[in-house]
Amino acid sequence: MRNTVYLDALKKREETLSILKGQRFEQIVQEAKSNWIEYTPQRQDSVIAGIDSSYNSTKFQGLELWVVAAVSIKSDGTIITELHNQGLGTPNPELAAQASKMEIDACAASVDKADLVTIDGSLYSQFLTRQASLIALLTATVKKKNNVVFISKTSVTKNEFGKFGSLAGDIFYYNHAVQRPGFSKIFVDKDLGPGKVISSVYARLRDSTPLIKIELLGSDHDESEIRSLLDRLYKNSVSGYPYALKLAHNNCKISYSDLARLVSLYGLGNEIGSREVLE
Amino acid sequence: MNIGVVIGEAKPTEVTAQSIRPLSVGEYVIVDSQNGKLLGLVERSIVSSDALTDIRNFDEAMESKEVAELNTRDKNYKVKIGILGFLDKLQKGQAIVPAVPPLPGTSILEATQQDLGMIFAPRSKEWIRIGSLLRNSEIEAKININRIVSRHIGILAMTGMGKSNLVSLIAKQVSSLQGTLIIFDYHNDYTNLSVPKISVTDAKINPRLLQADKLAEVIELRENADKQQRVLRESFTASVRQAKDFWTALEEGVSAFGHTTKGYADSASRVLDKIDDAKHRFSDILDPDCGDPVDLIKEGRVNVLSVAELSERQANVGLSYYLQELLNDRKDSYWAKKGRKLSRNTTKFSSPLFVIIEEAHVFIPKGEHTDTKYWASKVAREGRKFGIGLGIVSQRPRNIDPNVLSQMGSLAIMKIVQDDDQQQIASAAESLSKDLLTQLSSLNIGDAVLVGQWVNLPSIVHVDEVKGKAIGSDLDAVAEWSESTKYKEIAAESTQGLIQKDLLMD
Repeated sequence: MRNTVYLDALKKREETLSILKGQRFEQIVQEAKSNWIEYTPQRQDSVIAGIDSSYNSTKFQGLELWVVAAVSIKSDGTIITELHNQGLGTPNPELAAQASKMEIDACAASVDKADLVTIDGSLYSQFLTRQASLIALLTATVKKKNNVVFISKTSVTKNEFGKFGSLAGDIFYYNHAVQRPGFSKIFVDKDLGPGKVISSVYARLRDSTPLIKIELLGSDHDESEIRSLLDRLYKNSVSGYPYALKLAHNNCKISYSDLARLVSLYGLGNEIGSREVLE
Repeated sequence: MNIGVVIGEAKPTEVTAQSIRPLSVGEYVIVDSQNGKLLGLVERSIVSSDALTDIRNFDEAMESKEVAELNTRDKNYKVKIGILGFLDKLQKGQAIVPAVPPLPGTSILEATQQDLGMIFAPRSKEWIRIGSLLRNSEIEAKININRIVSRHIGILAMTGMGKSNLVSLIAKQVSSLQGTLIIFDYHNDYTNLSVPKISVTDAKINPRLLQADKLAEVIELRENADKQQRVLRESFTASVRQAKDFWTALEEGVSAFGHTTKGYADSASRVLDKIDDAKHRFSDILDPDCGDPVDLIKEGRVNVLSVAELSERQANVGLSYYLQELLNDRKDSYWAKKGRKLSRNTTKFSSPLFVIIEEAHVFIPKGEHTDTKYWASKVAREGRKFGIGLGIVSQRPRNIDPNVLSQMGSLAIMKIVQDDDQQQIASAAESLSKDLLTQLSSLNIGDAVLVGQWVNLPSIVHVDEVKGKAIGSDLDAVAEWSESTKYKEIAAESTQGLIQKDLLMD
């Protein structure tokens, strides 16, 4: 089976790799280059909080054991807030919504305690998948001090180069266009309607590090603000990624071994069918 | 003070703990278990950084270093602690390991002087100070001298790591207890040892007292020279042994055998050459008029018998003779005390002896027979009963006979780097854990791992330096060269002044 897959891959190699070359690719990369503003961030002291959430569940014989957690943590390891919820049965509201609510709550607890609050993920997913009540809460929290940004390492949005018939996400072309530190011109997206305007940039904090996508709420942002933002992110970043977000991710990650411990704590380890799920 | 918490899987003999600070390997700690306080030894200490894990390049390392310094929770101090037994029992000399492991969550406490003092520095007379614990330096480290004499010791280390210093320290302590110590000194390391009433003599061999094959070794007849060996054997008669002029009588005997036995004239002639050679080269050592060489050893003193002038074969003959005689004397003394009638009228030593053999790998080699090995092995087996202790000192443990090494009830192991040596030690010392073994290569000069019966517990100690010792130290070649050049210049200058210029011109 695998051999036939490999053989097929060899046959389709040229076609598959066309995404990386050809006139269209070159055109988009050229466009990305022209959009790029070279800027080497300067070190600036700042207290940065990283927020991330995680959820996981295990199902067996109609039962679901679920856990949701979120954390806000500073670059020096100080935890601002830890939130979690767990249960047995069908989660309500669904786990993603609970996680999102916890992130907003963690953000609310952090905006006054940090110079800059970074949230792992995209503002798009918050706006597109959340209930109206959550969106209102989110925008209110972000606007309180205007010190909240959303940061992601990956992105699938094609807002900028979709019009050129791009196959990959915008981040792919920016990655191929430049290796130097800097950021793309601010892209303002008003498609989601009033109150949900998103400004986004792709940024590279250091030479040859992966790009990050930064999203800010609203349209009233300029390049000097982005420069200042990069300066603050630069100091406590590792391989071009804010360390506070790495800490937040490591801190709240709920693995299957964590679930296995919970199964044991609840005394569900001996239930028929429980073991297979966790292995 | 609480310095850690037991985490993960715990066993009755070992636990893993998360500590508040990095703990040193060899440090003693208290495990405050549900069944009472346990004494633990840190066998492995691991420090890791969350930020500095999985680093892919230098830039990432530098950035991670910066954030790691900032993050107070970044460092992870994990230790593996070997459990040695209940503290109160150990203080009474009993090592009792708990049947139930300490529960995860159990506190790890700092060991205090009160906790450790009674274990490592008992106050009774047979315990002598040897130094202090390496990682708990305020605690004295003592060894039980009775156990050395009854169960033997091995002192093993690379050259220059403190073997002679430890031997000197033991010698000083034995001297202060009026004990009898005999050091076979192969490199004249102990002749300047500052010990009261020390007896330093050259080891002698009285050829009259040897068997013919041993005499052949001493005068360096080749082992496979069968005819020469026979000449000597046939000529070395009882009357020769008792002759007033031993060498002349032996030479006459050899000469006569050569003349009277067909086909042996050439061999007898070669034996005569060898005897003549030995008489001249080894006149200080081979002494037919020295009486019994064992008489050179004085009871109640430290005796340094120098074997530096002897070849390896001669030293081997000498050592085996001394060991044999000393063991036999102790046996006679023992049986005399039990009221048994002896073949000999008197014994030389009424109290236990302790014998130290330097360069043990030369005299007690692996895979090769030597007489010293035979007698050393016999002393190791029987010495406990008859009161003769053996100490073997070597920098090449892998070359020592494993049977003899394994009979050394106690070991002092200093820095050893070679894997072969470490493996040999591991197989000889059951109480040396793998983790302690790995520490051997990182020990510094004067540090030693003590295991076996002379200590209540395996311990890593820093041995006291013997003050005023002039032993085993390396040469200061640079200083000596410099001195030598200076004297040459002085000599040249002074001679130059004596030569008249006009004479040179003529």
